[in-house]
Amino acid sequence: MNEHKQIIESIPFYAAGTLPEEERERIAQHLEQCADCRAELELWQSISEEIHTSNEALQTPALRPIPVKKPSRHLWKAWYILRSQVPLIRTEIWLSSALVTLLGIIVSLFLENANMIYFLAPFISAAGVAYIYGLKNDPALELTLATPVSAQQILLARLTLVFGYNILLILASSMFLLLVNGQLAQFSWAVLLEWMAPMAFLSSLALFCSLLWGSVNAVVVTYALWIMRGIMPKLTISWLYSANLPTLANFLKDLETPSHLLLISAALIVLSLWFTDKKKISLLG
Amino acid sequence: MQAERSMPRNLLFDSSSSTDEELLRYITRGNSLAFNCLYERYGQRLYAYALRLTENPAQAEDILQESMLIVWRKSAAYRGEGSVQAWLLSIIRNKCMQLYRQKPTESIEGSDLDFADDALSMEKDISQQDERSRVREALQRLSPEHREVLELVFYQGLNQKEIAQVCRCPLGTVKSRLSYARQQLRGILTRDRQDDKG
Repeated sequence: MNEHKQIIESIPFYAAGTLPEEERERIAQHLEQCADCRAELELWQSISEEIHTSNEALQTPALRPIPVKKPSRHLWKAWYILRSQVPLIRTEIWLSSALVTLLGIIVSLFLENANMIYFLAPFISAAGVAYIYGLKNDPALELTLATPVSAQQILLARLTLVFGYNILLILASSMFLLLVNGQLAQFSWAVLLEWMAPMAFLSSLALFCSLLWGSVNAVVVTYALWIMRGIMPKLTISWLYSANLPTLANFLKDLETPSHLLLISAALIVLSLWFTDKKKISLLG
Repeated sequence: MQAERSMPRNLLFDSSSSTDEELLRYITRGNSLAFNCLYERYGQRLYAYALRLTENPAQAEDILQESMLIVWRKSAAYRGEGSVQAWLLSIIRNKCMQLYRQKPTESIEGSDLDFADDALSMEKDISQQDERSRVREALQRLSPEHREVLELVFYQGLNQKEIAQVCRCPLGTVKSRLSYARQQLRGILTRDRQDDKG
């Protein structure tokens, strides 16, 4: 395409004043030499002027009232389910978690070491989560399951409430301890993940075990595993190295990183949700 | 326009320094001041465009109101592809197309008849008109889609790419419509001048 033809195409936009500066200058230079293009510009300018004149005389109508923005239907539903599950969760869960956390704070203050609260966090949360579901923990569960809310939604709502409550408790306690010890500057997302990941892992494991073997057994199994993990890992890993199994030893070492623990937690929750549906069928069937 | 109902959402909002994109982000959070500000910026141009497409002030107003309601409710749907103005204009255009689909015979044929009537009356009076009236009448003789492209270029100030986005057509179609409009207008204006002389 020759330059003249290109410029002819751009003249409407030149007349409208919407071209970039560089192109505008190029066209202005061309216009000085080309009478045809000047006539073209004149035509477009008269059209532009007419379109502006006819439109600018228009009165913009006033807007009708706009409705207040509300959260989406799904958010309302989630909020409704969460709220409805609060009275159905065993009261002891809230109380015992708060009391054990308080005990943790006292011990931490006495030892002048905030790590005590991080050590207790997975235990507190796992114990609470192990008691959120099942006929023994909620005598009205059969009735609840007959409502249109699915068993998975109920389980997720209760897990969110109890796990969320425990996270808030531990977070508030750790902030308090860091403040008292003058170590608030040490707080970081990495520190947060360090205690939140084991907490999520042990809680999801407790949830899964509670669905399989009941709440008491779930607490025993998860506590035993966590205590063993505290004592055994160095022995196990060094044994694996000596037994010429470095890949397995490395795998076990990697397993304890926060990201891996969170991934395992997510998988356990998905398994629990799947299992809840099966349990619901056996309960109502 | 309804004043804001949710004060906390309207805090920390500066209408003068906010870009169009920022206004949309505020609107997504429920800020009605930002919504008013967007309407102040574009209301007139959106109404002019709706009127151009419908040729009916009552329908144009309804389309404008409904489109602004869509902006209020679905501002999060703006993905930053193209300018905010082009996005707003495409909402207006979609609404108009919906209207045409609902009442095809009434709206489209009605506007064609108007064009034909205008053309007839124009033929009679044209010799008495000055140059500006000639341009106005020549514009009225253009088909709606060619006139629409001219509106988007000259009144809405869009570039070719944005026009293609609003009209949902290829860039080549925008160019050919513009070129056809130019030929038509030049032809009509030249013919009219010759008729005057004759």
